[in-house]
Amino acid sequence: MSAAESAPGPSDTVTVDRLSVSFGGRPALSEVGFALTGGTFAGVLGPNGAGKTTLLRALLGLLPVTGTVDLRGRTAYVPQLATASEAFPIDALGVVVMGRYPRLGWRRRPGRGDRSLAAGLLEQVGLADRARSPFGTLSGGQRQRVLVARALAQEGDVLLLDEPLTGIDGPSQATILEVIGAQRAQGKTVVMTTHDLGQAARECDRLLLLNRTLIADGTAGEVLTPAVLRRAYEAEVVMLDGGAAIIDEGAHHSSHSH
Amino acid sequence: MLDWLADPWTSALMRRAFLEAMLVGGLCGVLGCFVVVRGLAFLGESIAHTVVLGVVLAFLVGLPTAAGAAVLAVVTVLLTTAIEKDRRLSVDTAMGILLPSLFGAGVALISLSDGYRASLDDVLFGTVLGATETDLALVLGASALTAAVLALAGKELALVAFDRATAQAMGYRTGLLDLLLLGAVALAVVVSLRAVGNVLLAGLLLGPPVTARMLCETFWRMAACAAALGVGASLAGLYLSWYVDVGGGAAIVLVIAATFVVVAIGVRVAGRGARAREQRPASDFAYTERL
Repeated sequence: MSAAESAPGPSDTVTVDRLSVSFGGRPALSEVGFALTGGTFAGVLGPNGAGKTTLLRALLGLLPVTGTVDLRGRTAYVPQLATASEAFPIDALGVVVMGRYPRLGWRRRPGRGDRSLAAGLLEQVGLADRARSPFGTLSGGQRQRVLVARALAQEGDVLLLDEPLTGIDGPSQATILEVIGAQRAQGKTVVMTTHDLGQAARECDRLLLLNRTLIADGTAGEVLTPAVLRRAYEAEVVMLDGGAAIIDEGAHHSSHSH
Repeated sequence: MLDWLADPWTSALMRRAFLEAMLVGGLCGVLGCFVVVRGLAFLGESIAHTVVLGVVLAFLVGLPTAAGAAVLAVVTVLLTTAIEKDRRLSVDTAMGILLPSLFGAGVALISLSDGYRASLDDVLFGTVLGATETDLALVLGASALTAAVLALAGKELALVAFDRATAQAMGYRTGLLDLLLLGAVALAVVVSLRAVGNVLLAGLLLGPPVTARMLCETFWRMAACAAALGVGASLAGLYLSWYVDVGGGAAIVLVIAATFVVVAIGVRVAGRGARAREQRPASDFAYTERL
């Protein structure tokens, strides 16, 4: 179950080996290793400050790291909702079209093909009728769905999502999970950070439990055990009705797994 | 009526002033949109003030004043980004330190050098009527350069303004794009000093974009609208200046302010009507509420 043992195979799309990241001398991640095959939906779990976002940024190649990160194919990224400006004047369709920019390159403007592809993706996330709505006037769940559609417009092979389900309405969560399912069915690799252990256990087929290092890597049954959770969350864990609940997670909130 | 419109154009001085002001109005309108959506308003204001030191220094050593202004604009941008990297300070704080220090040094130098004192008013409030062929060439050059930057990287600059994290994830070098934008803004500020002076420049850089933001829901439409408003206000301002005999820069900024007030009231009234009719969400007008 130790991630360092997972030897990279031919079908692996993401291979991470002894990955370490530090900020100003302080280690944020150390010696993280795992490999993901195409069609995997991996959930990255861990307490606040465990390095979940740092792991995504390292996978994107945005941070100086030691160790190796090998990503096959293009990446597409969905940032935390709050990073997209609500004041910026743009409509939902315009946001999705932005996903085409890397393919267009400098100078070239998006054309009819890009716009119709974007419109199709908005339909896929259930927002066909909001294409012309200003992004800032959409609800949190709708905005998150637009950002997911934009990531799909990048047509990446590895989809990285930073807390895509946090703080949004149930129907939006369901739509996003449906879209992720469709991506997996096409053989894409999906990596999502989340705080919600229960949701991750239900939806992901692989869980990576972080706390500055990889504490556990495996299926929900392997990872979500009281002993493992206690190590990751350094907190009281009690068993409730067959699930684990973490009490007093450093910060003032608790997560549940049912 | 036609005579009334044509009259100012009979003077070569005014023709140059019209061209200078309209070009500056358009240029500041477009770049000001980036300044507004990026929340860099204070940077524009700051550059407009700190370049005074450059202008005075250049005058004292006998160099073209535009060159001195450009150097100080670049210094301001670099110092700001350097201070910004220190997470303990916000950009506002950085500006709050830079602006009075460099502006104060400029004003102090002016007081010490008798020769320059007479033109202090020109630096502060502009002398659009004194626009020379060289001034016009500088504005034309800055406009062409800005157009080239926007043709090359306009959509990328908009992406960075909207969602920096994703721009980085897509592989864009956001630091370089920032420098490109700040460089263009600094250049626009420098070439616009002649038209409106450093005190009134913020009006030209921020007024049309903020007004356009109330009227437009997409960025490039906002930019086109702001450019049109900037050109229109410059034109109207110079007519005002010709017939009422107020300073050109002041007249232009007054027209911009009046347009802003009219549009703000209009949008509010129209918004109230629309809300009453179809119960639109209040957030549609969140931006105007904040102004």
